[in-house]
Amino acid sequence: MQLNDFYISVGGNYETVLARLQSEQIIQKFLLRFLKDQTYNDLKKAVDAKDAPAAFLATHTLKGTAANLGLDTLASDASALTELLRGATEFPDGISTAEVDKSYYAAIKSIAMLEA
Amino acid sequence: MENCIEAEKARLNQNNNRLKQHISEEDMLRNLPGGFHCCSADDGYPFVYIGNGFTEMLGWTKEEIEGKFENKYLNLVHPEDRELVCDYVTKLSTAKDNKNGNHSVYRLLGKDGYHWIADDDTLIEIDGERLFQGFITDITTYIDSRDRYQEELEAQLDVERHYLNVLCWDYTSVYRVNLITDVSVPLKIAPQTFVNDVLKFQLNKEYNFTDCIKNYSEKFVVPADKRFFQRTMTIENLKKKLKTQPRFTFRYKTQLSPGGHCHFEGQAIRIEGVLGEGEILLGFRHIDDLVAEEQRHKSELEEHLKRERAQDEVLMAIGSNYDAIFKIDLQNDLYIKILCNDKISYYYGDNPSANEMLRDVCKRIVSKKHYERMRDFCDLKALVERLRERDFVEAECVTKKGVWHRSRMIVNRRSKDGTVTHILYVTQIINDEKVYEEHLIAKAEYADLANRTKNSFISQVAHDIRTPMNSILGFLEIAESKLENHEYDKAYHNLEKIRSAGEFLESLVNDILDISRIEEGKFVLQCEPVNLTDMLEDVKTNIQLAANKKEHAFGMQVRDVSHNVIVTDSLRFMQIYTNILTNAIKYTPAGGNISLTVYQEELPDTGKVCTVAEISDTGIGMTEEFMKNMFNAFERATDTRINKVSGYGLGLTIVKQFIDIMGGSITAESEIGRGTTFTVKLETEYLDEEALDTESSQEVDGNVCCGKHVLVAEDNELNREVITELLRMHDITCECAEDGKSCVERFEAAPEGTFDAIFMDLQMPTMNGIDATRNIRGLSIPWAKTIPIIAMTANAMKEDVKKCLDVGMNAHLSKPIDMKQVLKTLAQNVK
Repeated sequence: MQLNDFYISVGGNYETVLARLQSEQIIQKFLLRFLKDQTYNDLKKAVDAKDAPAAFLATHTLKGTAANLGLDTLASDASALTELLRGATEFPDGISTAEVDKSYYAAIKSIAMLEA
Repeated sequence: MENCIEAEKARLNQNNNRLKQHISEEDMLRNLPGGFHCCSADDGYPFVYIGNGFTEMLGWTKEEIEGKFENKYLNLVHPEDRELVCDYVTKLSTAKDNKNGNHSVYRLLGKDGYHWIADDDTLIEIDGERLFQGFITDITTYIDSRDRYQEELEAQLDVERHYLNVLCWDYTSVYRVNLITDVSVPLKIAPQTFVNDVLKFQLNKEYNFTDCIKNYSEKFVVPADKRFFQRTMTIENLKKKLKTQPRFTFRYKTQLSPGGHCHFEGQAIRIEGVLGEGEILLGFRHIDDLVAEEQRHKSELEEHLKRERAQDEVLMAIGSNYDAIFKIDLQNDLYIKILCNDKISYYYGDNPSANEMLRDVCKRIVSKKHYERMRDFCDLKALVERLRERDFVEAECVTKKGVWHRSRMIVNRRSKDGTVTHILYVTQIINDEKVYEEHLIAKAEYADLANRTKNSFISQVAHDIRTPMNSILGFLEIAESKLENHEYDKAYHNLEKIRSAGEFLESLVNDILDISRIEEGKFVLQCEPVNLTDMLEDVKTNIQLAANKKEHAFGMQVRDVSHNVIVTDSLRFMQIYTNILTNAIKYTPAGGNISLTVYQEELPDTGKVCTVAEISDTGIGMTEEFMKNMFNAFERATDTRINKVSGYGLGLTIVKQFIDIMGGSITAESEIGRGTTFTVKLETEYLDEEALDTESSQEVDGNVCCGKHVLVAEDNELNREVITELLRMHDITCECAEDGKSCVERFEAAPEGTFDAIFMDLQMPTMNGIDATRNIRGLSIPWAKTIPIIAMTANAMKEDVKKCLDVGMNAHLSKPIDMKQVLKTLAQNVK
């Protein structure tokens, strides 16, 4: 899969990512590197532990990395979750990571396909 | 011997006969009243003759006297009186002139007991024999009555003595003093007093008064009172004082006596005229109890006074809050003015009836608006009921002159059954309070209005969102079915519709965000030199497309632009024009005319120029009612015609807000059905054309950054790797810190000049970027103050940027990472 197609599939814009990061190699490299990033796992752990501040931090980081790599859908889902968790000391009821889960798995699936 | 006896017998007989003869001579005496008797002065005073009166008086017969009493007078006499009788007889015989006038009183035994008799005898000598004779008079009745009288007198004296004793009870000693002779006589000395033990006065004996005083005062009076005592007790002083007054008292203290007394009172009383010239009485008593009582009383009084004073202070302090305080006796309809400010004293006339006074005040002072309420409030008759369960009632009113008063009726006293009997009527002028209160009410009303308009705004916005949202969902459904049927062209067409609805939503949301930012005062203009012609071209391009769609003829005319380079927020500047133009397109039926005319007016000597834009359409026009509220953020006038046009938006509101912030003006002229013309005037600074050229030629020279070494604070490893890699591509080396704390530590440990800049993520565990920056800037090493720190964050909000700059960061980069921006910012900040 070409990067261009990849970004269409994950809801992003290759042109802008390229403009920012200026190198196809780097984009490719770090997309693959994203597969090993632990942030998503941190988020899941924090949510399981109902640790609101930790969940916020993880979501925030996930949003940042996803945005950096142009994974716009994931970034925006993570951003939405970030806002729900911002400033919370108690884990808010009814918070769901479903959207983030969905877009995260969509992203890594596409990245995996990219690798292939 | 016999002869002797015979001779004696004869002599006695002879004597008897002679006596009998003598007596018979006075036979008449026998029947004289009283008890005549004649006795010999010999031993036992044998009777020579006993008169009938005598025997009758005593009840004895002559025989009984002769037998029982051996015919001796003395045997009849009460044994106690016998000596007296003997003396009497002796006296009779020795007295020279004793023939008459001698009498004696004594008791003689009668048959019925002793009789008091008065005996009036005469001594006679007959033939050398001494006889006494005379009458006895029974004076038993007299003596008895005299004794009774005596007893009565005694009893009376006893009572008087008792009175005196009682009166003198308090006095330990009383003296009679003669001020002329300087003699004092103790009349009463309480036994076992210390003074008595020492001075040893005796009752009724005479002492020198002056000496006594000296002696006493030296020994007993305390030094402090000694002179006073002595001066008071001088004869001169006593005379002087008692001349003008019948008595006087004085007090002094003595050394503590064994009796434990030390406070004494002396009293001098003039008794002259009763007992003789210069006589006075002096009494002394100890008054420790009295003094103690007085002192207790005094301290109680002082305590009471203190309390009163405290209460007064409290009352005055509290009272100072009030402009008038009246105490009203409800039962008697009376009142007392306790306090009344001069300002309002004339309110309260001099009507003695409390009820009438208040009614009068209401009538004269209270404004029409509040009159009835205050009249009811001041009705003292109804007050008792109103105050049954409460301790005060209050009312506020405005006077005819517009002054606010607050009046209270406060319970002052209740009777046993709880009925109010006395109240305090207080009143205060509360204008300031009222003004403040009204201010608060206005504020609350405004807040309420704002809240309500905000709510209606939200519901309108929700409505505005729902319309495109419905079309998005609707078109999606259609698109899906088209795709299933492989009608790709039609599906594409639907997607276009969805896009346009989405774009509308986006612009709506952007508008709302802009408005709320402006409302919160967070909106900041970002002014820079811009090319007016270029901006207008951009506007034209944007609008032309939309105008074409609705088959409008769009024309732009630019004339008299003397300063093409102006300093303004280009984005907002264009948005103003675009919003008005978009509205013009929207509200003009297809095939209309839209025009934009721009020209400049010179503002000499200000360095500014006024750019005027006139935007005209041939649209539906606006009603006057609508125009009144067209710029209002939260209050949109309803116009049935507008609801037909999808996406009314907030264009005008934002335009107005931007223009206000930029210090410009906007006016509109409109005619229903004919069209509208908006005129926007914006004053801006201007620059020479060249200025912008040099400015814009300042292209970022990425090479400036070559070989720089930076510190990157970023908690996520992946992000660290990305930035490291990207920097390396541009020959920039870096070190990374995984949080704010280690960033500070690394910086502090590094030799000066190690890093050219710090890239600082804001959201990090342990220590965030803001705190880290604050810590670095606070370090004492010199380059901590100068090292460029560039924030990197996903929060591109203005307030976040401000926070960064506030703690000493030099610049701000928003995520995601844009290498062009990174290099540009780095170049601008490193040397």
